[in-house]
Amino acid sequence: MLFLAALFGFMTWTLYGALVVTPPAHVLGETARIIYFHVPVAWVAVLAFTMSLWNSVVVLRRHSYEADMKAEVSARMGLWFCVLATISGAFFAKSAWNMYWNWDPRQVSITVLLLVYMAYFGLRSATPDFDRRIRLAAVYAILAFAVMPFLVFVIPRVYMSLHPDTIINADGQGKLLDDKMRLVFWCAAAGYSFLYLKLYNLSVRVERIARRKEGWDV
Amino acid sequence: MPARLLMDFISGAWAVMKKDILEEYRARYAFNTTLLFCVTCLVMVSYSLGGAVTDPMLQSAMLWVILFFSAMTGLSRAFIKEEDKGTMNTLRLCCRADHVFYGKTAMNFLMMSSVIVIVAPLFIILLNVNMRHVGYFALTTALATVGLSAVSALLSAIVAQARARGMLFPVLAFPALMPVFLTAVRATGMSLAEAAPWTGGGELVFLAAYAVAATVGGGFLFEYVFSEQ
Repeated sequence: MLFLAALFGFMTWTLYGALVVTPPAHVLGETARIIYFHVPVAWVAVLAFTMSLWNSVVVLRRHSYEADMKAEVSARMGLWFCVLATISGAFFAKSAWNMYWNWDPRQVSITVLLLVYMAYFGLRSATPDFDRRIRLAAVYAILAFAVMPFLVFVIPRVYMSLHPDTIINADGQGKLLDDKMRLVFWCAAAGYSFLYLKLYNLSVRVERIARRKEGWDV
Repeated sequence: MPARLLMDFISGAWAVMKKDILEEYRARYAFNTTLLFCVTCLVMVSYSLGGAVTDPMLQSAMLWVILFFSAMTGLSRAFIKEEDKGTMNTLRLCCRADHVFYGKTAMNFLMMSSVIVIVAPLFIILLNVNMRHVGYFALTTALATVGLSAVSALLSAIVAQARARGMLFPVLAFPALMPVFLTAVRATGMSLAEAAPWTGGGELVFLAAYAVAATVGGGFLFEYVFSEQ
């Protein structure tokens, strides 16, 4: 309870900092305030997919139902955070480029990433046998994660993109952000990461109860 | 000793591939289906365009959409046919997982390459394509086909153990193959354009990296898909 209260206070302060304390960004102006939401959310999606990968590796090594449950929960949360990143990105696109969707390489990448993890859940639901399901899903999760660097890091750099990463983060270290902006940004990243951890713990507990009811040994 | 291991590996993979070649030679099911699908799509696209002059990038995109979906119809059979005929367990008993994976990947590569060898000239004739850099095009298709074959072999083995296989295969394959698809479209477009495509070379490096990652990584992961424990 104390953790939740502290997290709520911290997130509220971050929101205040993002909307009131920080100045408008270099070139992009007020629209750039979305980085305090969009970038941490995208970061959390990557974090969740990494957790899913780690648990999938554990599934293949130890054939653990517990790890499979954690991999599934993480992938589901990653998918939701990815949806939030897509929607927030589309709002930015509307204000910056005057259209919600223009198939910018970043938008292509995130769409394919969404499809990869939707396919992961499609595979899970198409495999009724428990033991087969956890094995096949783990292999696909690893394959999906192996594709992610191509989508997130390579394609946006090979194709011409309007994504403002090249303006705000031209030096790769965010030095074009001023001190206040950087402080609020890193606080937002930390806040969303803790929020993810809290939600992850709750989801694992709920999933454990649901699986025990279905007869899984978790 | 390593030479003997390599020979063992090659002969094991070749045995699996030879079985598939013989099977395909007798039935000609997958090859005929894939080729007919490709030719039908190509004719439809050409007819719909009615001789209109199209941009090299658009021509390249059309070619790869046709090749991609024909691969979805043909390559998905690699393991589904083994499950349908009940020979999957025989393969498990007789062969090592890596021999099966690389044998099937090589067979997929052979089948897709044969289809492309027939379809590419048709593509040039029917869509009135000016192929300016044949070597670049050949290298692009070869590298893209290696990645496509390896990922399809792995996914076919996954899908063979699930329900709704026909629908599931493209759903799983599309996002996993998207990087190679986008890059192949771009590289093929460059081989049709006037400017020399060799100067940058990023696309070919990307396709080669994907092919190596898919072939090596697929080999590791396949063991877990193939084994029943």
